[in-house]
Amino acid sequence: MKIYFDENGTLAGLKGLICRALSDGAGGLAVLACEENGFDRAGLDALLRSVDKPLTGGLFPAVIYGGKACSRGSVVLGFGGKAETAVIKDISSPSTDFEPAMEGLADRAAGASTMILFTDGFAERNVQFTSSLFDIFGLAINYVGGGAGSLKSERIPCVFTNEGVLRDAAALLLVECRSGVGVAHGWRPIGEPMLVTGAEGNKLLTLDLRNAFEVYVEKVAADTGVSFGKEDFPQVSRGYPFGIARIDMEMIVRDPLKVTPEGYFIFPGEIPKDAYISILTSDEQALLAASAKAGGRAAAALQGGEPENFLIIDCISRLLSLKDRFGSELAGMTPPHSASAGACTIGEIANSGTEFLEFYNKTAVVAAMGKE
Amino acid sequence: MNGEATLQVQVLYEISMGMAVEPTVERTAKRALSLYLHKLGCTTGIILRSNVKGKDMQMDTIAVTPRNLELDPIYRDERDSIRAIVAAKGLEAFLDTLPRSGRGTHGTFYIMKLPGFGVIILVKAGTPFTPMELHGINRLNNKLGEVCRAALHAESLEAQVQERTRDLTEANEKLKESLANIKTLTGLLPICAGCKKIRDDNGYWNQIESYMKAHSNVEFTHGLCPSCIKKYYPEYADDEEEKKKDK
Repeated sequence: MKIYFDENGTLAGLKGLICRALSDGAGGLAVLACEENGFDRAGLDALLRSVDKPLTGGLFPAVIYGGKACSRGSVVLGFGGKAETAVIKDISSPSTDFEPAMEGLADRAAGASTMILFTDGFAERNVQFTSSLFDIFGLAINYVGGGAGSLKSERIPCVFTNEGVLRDAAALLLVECRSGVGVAHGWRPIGEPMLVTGAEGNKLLTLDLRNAFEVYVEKVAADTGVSFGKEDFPQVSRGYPFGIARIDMEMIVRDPLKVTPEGYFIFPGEIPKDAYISILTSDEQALLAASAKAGGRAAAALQGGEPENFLIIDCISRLLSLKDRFGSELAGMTPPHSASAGACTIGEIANSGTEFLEFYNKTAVVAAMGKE
Repeated sequence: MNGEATLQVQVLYEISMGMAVEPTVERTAKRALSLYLHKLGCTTGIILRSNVKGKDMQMDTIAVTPRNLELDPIYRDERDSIRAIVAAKGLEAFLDTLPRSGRGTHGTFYIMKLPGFGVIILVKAGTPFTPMELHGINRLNNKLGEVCRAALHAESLEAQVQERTRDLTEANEKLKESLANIKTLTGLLPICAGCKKIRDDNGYWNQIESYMKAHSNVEFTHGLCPSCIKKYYPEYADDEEEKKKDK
């Protein structure tokens, strides 16, 4: 994997990166750009459509380069060898069948080792989407990617494809580059788990037969000693997400997007009724330890030689929580002086190769990329 | 109960509550398999149905996740070994050997009974299931077996409903055809005040007999009324008058 970076975040700069990657022989591209760049939509569409190699990517709250998160700039990752892509549109629609596009890509997957994928982070069926992905591709490949989008306005066209920038879509890129993937988050439960007694799609209505927000306030206030209202929720939820339990594995973190006036939570993915969920918390030390663990797992999982560089997919909420210490998170993920790049995402998709593929929140994902 | 045991009970409860009878047994099994894999940390799952036809027995694949498992030698070896045992010793003898487990390249595999239905194969990477977890999963398998059987039953009922619906639709069509052949005259008929001919939809004037025959199920039989007898056959008119008087 070759890494190219433009700190100015201009369309001309991005075009320059893509041209360099292609002239260096890239067979496929991942294009990661900050929403703050404020690209002209028509110009961006035209640029992406002009690329004659398969690509994936998106607009993100921040990109990662040189050991820091940048709120402005663009990163292009060039992958040597053959690459294949597929685009899935209307992910949120219950009538969308993900499988034909995925099956088409699977037919062209010979020789592929890694899938780089980006989806609309606010799409309503991302959990089902990742399940379908695993059902079709299984453990034959590693997966690294996450949700694109903006924290300012919920739904914008944000997924980069060879057809331009799309909303409510996903772009999958299969590349030959070997990888080892590590996933960890560092969140732990407070109190007893609660039963989801009322849920509709991605809306959580009741916990233990009571209004979900009332229960949340009670539990979090017991931990912090401070009560709060719905207006404080965006601040509070950064430090207190939900977690779904599994046997012998870390909980899957679910970060609620917002709370409705009725006291219901809206999530980026489906919330199953009759599931047990917990409220989680963490601290700086635990978050940094987890991201370092993800980096260690990634390097250990890469077979057949030392990593050439690292692709980092880290949740934007970790940047917002860690603030100035986010540099330490990035530094801990990779060996000193190693090259890395990536994005701060809205939801993370990865598979460590030893478990079912999941759509995570508030999670650190590191992919150690092998030499091409 | 300690925390681990509580978590185990909760996870098994979630899987149990998430199982549901879908329109087909394949979808039912696929849904359950997805829950097993998500919640139990498994990478692979297969549900096989024991199929007995007369003296022959076979295991049919009902659900596989991931689908490209056919490429996995562990799956192929296990599937072939199950078939070999079933073929050599019979299905019951094979079921008596369950549960079985062993180490493969993807992790530990488990083959367990789905009572009254077939077997489930799970592959788990990393730490194997504890005996307590396996105990809980075996209890869960009882429910999965029941759900799959219910789905088969629902499928069979649905097939019957569809067959009867088809029969009824056919009967209904025939009835409609028959009804279409029943001719009934309704509405206004333009009739000539002089000759009593009737004008049809094409503007032709028809004798009343031919019109009525064409547009209804009426057949005509001819006779003469007393005034017409007087008019056309006066020589017989008196006889007719006498007959009426005698009565």
